[in-house]
Amino acid sequence: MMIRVITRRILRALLTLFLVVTFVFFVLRLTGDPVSAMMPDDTDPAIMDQMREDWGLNRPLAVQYADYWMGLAQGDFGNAYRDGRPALEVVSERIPATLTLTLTGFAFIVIVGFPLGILAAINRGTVIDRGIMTLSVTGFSLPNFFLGILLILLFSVQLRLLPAFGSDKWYNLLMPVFTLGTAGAAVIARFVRSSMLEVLSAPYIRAARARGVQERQIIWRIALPNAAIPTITVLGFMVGALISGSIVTESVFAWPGIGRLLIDSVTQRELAIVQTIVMLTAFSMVVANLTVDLLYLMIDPRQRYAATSGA
Amino acid sequence: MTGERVPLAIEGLTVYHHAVDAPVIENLALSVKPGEIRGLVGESGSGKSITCMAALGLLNDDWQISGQIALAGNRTLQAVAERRGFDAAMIFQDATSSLNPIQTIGQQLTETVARLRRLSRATARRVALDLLKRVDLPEPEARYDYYPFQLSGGQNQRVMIALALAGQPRILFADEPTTALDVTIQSQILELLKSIRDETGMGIVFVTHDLGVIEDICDTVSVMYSGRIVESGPVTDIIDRPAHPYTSGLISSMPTLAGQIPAGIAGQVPAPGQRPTGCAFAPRCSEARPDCRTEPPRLVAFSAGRDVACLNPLGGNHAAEQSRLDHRHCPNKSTRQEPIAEIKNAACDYRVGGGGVFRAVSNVSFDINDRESVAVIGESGSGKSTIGKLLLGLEAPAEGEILFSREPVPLLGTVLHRAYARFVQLVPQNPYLSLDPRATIGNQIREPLIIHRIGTQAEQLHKRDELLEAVGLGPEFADRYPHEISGGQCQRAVIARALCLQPQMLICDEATASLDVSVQARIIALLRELQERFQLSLVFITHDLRIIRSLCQKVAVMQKGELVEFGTAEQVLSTPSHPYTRALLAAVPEKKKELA
Amino acid sequence: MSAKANAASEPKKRSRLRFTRGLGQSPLLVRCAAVWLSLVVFVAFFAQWIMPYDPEATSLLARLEAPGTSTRTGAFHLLGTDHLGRDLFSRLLTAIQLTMAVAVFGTVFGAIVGSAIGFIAARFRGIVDDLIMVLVDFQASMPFVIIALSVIAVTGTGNLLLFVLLVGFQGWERYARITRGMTLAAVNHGYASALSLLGAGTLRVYLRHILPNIAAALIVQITINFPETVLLETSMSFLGVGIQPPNTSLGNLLSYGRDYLLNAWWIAAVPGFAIFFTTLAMSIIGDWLRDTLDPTTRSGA
Repeated sequence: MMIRVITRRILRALLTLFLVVTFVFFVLRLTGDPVSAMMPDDTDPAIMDQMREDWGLNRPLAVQYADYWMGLAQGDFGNAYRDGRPALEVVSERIPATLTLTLTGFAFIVIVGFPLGILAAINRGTVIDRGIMTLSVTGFSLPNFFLGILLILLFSVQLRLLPAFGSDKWYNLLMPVFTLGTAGAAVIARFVRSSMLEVLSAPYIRAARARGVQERQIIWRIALPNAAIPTITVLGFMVGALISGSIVTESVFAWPGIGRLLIDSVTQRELAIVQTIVMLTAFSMVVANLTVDLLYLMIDPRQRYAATSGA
Repeated sequence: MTGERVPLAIEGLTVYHHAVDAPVIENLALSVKPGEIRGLVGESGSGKSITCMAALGLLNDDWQISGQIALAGNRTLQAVAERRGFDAAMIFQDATSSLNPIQTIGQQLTETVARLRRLSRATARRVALDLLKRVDLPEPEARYDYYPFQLSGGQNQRVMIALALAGQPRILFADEPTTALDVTIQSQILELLKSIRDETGMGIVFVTHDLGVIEDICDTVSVMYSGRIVESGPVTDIIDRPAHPYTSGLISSMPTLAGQIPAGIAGQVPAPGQRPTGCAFAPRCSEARPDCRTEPPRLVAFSAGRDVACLNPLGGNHAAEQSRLDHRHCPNKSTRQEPIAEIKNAACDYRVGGGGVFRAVSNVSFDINDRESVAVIGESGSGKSTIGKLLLGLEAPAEGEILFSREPVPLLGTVLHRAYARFVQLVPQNPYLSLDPRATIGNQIREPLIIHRIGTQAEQLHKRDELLEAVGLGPEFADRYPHEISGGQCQRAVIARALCLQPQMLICDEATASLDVSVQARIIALLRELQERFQLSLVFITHDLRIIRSLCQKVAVMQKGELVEFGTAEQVLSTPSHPYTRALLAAVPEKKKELA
Repeated sequence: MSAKANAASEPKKRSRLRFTRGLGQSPLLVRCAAVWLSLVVFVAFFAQWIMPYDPEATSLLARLEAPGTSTRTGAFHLLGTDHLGRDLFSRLLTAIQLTMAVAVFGTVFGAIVGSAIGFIAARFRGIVDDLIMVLVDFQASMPFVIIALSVIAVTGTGNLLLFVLLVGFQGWERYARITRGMTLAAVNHGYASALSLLGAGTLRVYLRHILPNIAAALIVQITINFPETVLLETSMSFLGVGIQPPNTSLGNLLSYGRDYLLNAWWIAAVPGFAIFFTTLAMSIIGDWLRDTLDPTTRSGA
């Protein structure tokens, strides 16, 4: 029964992937002609026709679509237009840099966001609460590209403490991670706070107080576990936010990751690379969502029960 | 030795709410002897729950408390918080949401026992299991590892009681613990509380709005009105000879199995900031004298063991007698014995998750005669509401047929249903939910006429005022919004809207369940009057057997989707043939002598 | 329970009152935010008349001038000049104008499309609903920038209308989800079913009754979405894949300034703060609106 639920979640994940591939295919084939998009405007029409012929663009759409799937199944994501290297290879080189950045960013979000949210909730209405909430509003209103530039201005230009660029030393991570994680940490702090406050006003908290449970026990043993459950969903969303955030962050700090590659490829219209990155993103998101679902099943007895009773 | 300590003694308790900027509870005294169950009764807004919360020190910084509270003889306000669980415990109306949803009931109970009795976890676990057995939770060993959401409301209330017993308290505050439960479960929980009291000598403060429950379980009762106790004393004395007009009003509002027509009390409890000088009840009191409006009455001895706060207490028992005038039968007007609606072998299915179907109603047949009222009674899950949905065309019968005026009832969303709206209308349980919060009462009452393009604007407005008058609201309510008026007034507006198209049949689905008894009584009276005036057939879906006789000629008893008994109210209530009907009747909280 | 029921109905009345009393009674921070936003709106409408210089006029003699300096030609540059000697203040005004236009148009577009889709899902249920929800889930699980970038990769940069629509689409799934959820809630157990029972047609129920009731939630969603639209547009323009010259958005201005951090930090700082203040002001007003419109999420004293 549990297996059935997990299978269903995986099927749903596969559906998302299917939609992404279909989306990418149709965006590439329907919103424009890749040949005229790629070639200079004054190219001989005969050559363009020849290219269309070569790439199989004259065949029926359904055939192209099936072909596209076949290619993907064999790991063929197309070749980069510039140097002819497989797109998958070009993208893969950039994965470690982005992974380092986003994983550290994720840790930053959790380590900063959670305690601030809890602190604000248990000091509700006080100066601490108001301070943290002001910080939070500021945090997610601050454009990350501007935050990055401000950091460079302060730490690289004025104080000369940190280099503005580079990616090989541990301290090179500091400014990009702060830039990347601030908005997310602000969101998490806010969410944890409101989730805690909601739980703290629940009837079972009042009942626990009525039987004399200490306030500290109520906060840490009853309220926090209950409040943490819905934050799993938000942490799942954070994966998407980190991916979008890394695009800007990598550009600001010249970080050699996928985000910068994506922007370069968009401006140079390297469609094969763009589509590879889109699919890689989709895959990460699907994995993240699946993890969120499974975490829920593990942590929340209500969901587990619903899953095992086959409802 | 513990028996000697007074479980609860409250004196001069005043609870002030900062935001309201007025005292919510004023100069309240309340004491409970060992083994005493004291009822605390009153309408919504009278301050019953706040009193309990204050006694346990559960109110937050928004409130300011003064006065003396002694739990099991420990007499300081500060100590209250430390003694919670040991000296005093509390159970609540909604047991399921009063338990930590992500911890098993066994863990919660074991932790509480270990903490309150200073036991090791292993010993505490054994004690916890004993407690679960004590509260008659079926299969306690297996249920130990259940989460609250896996248990029923009644079972969770048993768990709550076990949790309350963990610290062996001398006083238990029970805040409407059975209000949300079916009547058979309610009577089991009441029996359980009584037996625990007998065994432990614990005192209980039992908060309820239901005088029937008070009669059933309590030894003494304190009647609260607008933050004060207006009368207190032994239950039987007070029910038989109420001294305060408010108590008398509450008693006469109670419908009874015997068929007392409830009278109700006009008006509503004043909000804390808006209490009149003098007696707070004076504006609603028929016995009020001029000095009632200037001088607030103090609670003084009335007779042996009884106190009353009234300048002009009811001397004899005239009020009670008047209220007990026995209208045993609903006016037996000459109903034409021809059915207006027929339910023939009807079954109804609901789709449930995973592609299965749940049969909510199966093989039900009965007729509703023209201008007749039929009560459909049953507990939750009996399928009684589904009968209403079938009659309204909200659900299609899976088997059998539903006829109105010999025609099949059209399904909602079809063209025919639009016309059917003019024949059958609904009065739902929660009037606030069924009114658009952002439209005025007047516009909503008039809207059916606009929808069906009936009359000119002037005629529509005239009709609107007529209806407002008919349901006892008056045209001045036309410009109000739902949130600006009380629940009872809201329900009147909903009834006015339902009557707008001059239907022949009204379906009332628990139409009075969310209202105070004093208001419920007046809505029942209104429905009776309207039925006469507009020659309506009524289908009254309810879980409360006590309101049947004052309103209905026929009764249909539902159990688990099947019709187990159908007959006249007289027949079913006096000589029930089905064992389930007998069980339901036996579970009705009332003084048992009335049943005999 | 008794006093609870009373207390629960109380804040509703008060919040309504508070809302009608309007900004006059609101906290200082909210009033500051409102002042900034009205300033920005004013600029968006009247930039052409208040800008002192042509924002495109270059002057090689007055490059990278600091704020508040007067050049030898007698021109006064309130916010200094950029690397081509263009007046930064004038450029800021046009950039605000464009950024606001894109954000307003995009937000309104997304709100209308999203809520319409949500209404459709709730109205027709069944397969239509399922299909829409699959799309909504898909959208919610894909970062929108990635989708926007892949579209731009194909169509190329420089199509302003397409870019505005694309930016506007951001967040449609949230409008759809809110509209659908609240509509279903109303349809299932509320006034909407009562109205249907009275014979009211779908259109009447949806437009006359449900829409006014969910309007508050949609307005709150707009205040959340608007800053996000501003951020999406400016960051894409900053990255060079959004607004293209000769049009200038705040993102473009900031991106030019990036190259002169060492000797002319104000070129980056001025548009940066303009974006920041705008999104911050909208968030503050959104918070305040949500607290006043919806008593259930009201927090703090």
